[in-house]
Amino acid sequence: MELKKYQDVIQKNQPRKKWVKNLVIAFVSGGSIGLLAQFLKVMLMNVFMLEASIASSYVIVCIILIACVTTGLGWYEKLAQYCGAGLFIPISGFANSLTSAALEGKSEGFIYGIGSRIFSLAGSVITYGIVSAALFGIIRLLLFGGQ
Amino acid sequence: MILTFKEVYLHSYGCAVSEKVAKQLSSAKIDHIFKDDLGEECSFEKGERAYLSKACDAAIRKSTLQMNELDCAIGADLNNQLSASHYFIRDYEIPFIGMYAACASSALLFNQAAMMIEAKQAHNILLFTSSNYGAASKQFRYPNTYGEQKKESATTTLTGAGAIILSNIPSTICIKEGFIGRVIDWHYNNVADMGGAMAPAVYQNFIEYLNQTKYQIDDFDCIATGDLSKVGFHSFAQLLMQDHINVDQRFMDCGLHVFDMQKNDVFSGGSGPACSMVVLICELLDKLEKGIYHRILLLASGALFNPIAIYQKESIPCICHGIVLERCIS
Repeated sequence: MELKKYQDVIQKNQPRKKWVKNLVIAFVSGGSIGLLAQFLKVMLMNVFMLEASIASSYVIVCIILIACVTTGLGWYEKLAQYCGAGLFIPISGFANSLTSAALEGKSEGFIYGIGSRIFSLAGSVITYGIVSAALFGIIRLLLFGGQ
Repeated sequence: MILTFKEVYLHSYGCAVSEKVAKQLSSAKIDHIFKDDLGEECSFEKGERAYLSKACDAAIRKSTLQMNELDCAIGADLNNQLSASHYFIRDYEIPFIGMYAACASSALLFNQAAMMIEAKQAHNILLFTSSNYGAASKQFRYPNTYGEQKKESATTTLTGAGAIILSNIPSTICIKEGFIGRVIDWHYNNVADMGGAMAPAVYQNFIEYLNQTKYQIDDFDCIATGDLSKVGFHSFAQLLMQDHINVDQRFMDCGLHVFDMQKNDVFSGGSGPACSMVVLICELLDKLEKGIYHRILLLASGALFNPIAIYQKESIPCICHGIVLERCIS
């Protein structure tokens, strides 16, 4: 079997990766979500007179809500195809992964469908987030006495 | 493994596709068009069975046969345990063989059915393939509404079903020859590029077929690959040209014919077990019937990967099966 020949031909026919374009779009779209979040926070603090920390929490909830609703409407995936990392890095990506998995699991019912599948994509994030928190907590305790 | 047949004819056919596919294909041959992947059902899996139901129903109604004259059915799809085929055929109460060759299933089913008819073990066999974009995404990739940025080399699984009845009753189109291909694994593991993975398998099996039969490409009016799509078809053509085979207008790819390639949302082209079957029924059989083509070769390509194997760092084994359809005077 001519492995080298196949590798050369298939490699040559790969579509060109648009690194710069994707980077710029991801930067702008991710930054736009940051801007939106900041705008919401300022609005919540000045119009609704909330404290900064509470306003921050509400902003996260708002972003999650927008991501879930747009996922259900089928708009999120079209936007994500264009924006790439700009959309999946912020909390919107996490919300979308849960919502899309839950929508998919609907046909198998609440327990085996929605309940089992909702974390199928986000499971790794949660698992390694918790493991890292525990690990770094232990390291901090050993090195700095928990200070 | 090359098979030759003398008494196998194409009796009737039927197909059902989604609206997106219907826009691109010759609608005269489509028996039913569904609005979306759900096929008016509550899940993609049930929807796939609805598509199958319409396709097989059309093939049987257009034939001269009664249900009890069908000796056997052979079906294939992409679902685990071939669930679409099994849950569909349970209502038919006829002997059934389920087969899996991913997107190479169409040619494999033809060969299997033709072998049984040629050996006089059966007179009339119903064969069908189906695929569903929603069900395939759920099983092989990500949930449908997940915001994944798909690569340009990715292919889009076609939602549709095709059914054909093969028989020993003489008709205009006969099945003359076929080959069962070898699995080729060239250590490629990019699941976002199925076409590129399959191209060497199609190339190697096709060259071996030509070498064993001593055919030239001029012996065929059309050589259609299953679903290599943009990346795979260009790679296949380049591999042939390196062997000094002139890749001219007779070469085509079914995956490039099922969708409007100008739109960005299908990326590299169409794929799925139904892809080659639907293009065969809607485009190629018509040309055979009208005498525009006299002899065609379908090279159905399949990527036989498993998601768990991929996570275990395995590569993608691929296969290609072939079938020769000829216009014969009945």
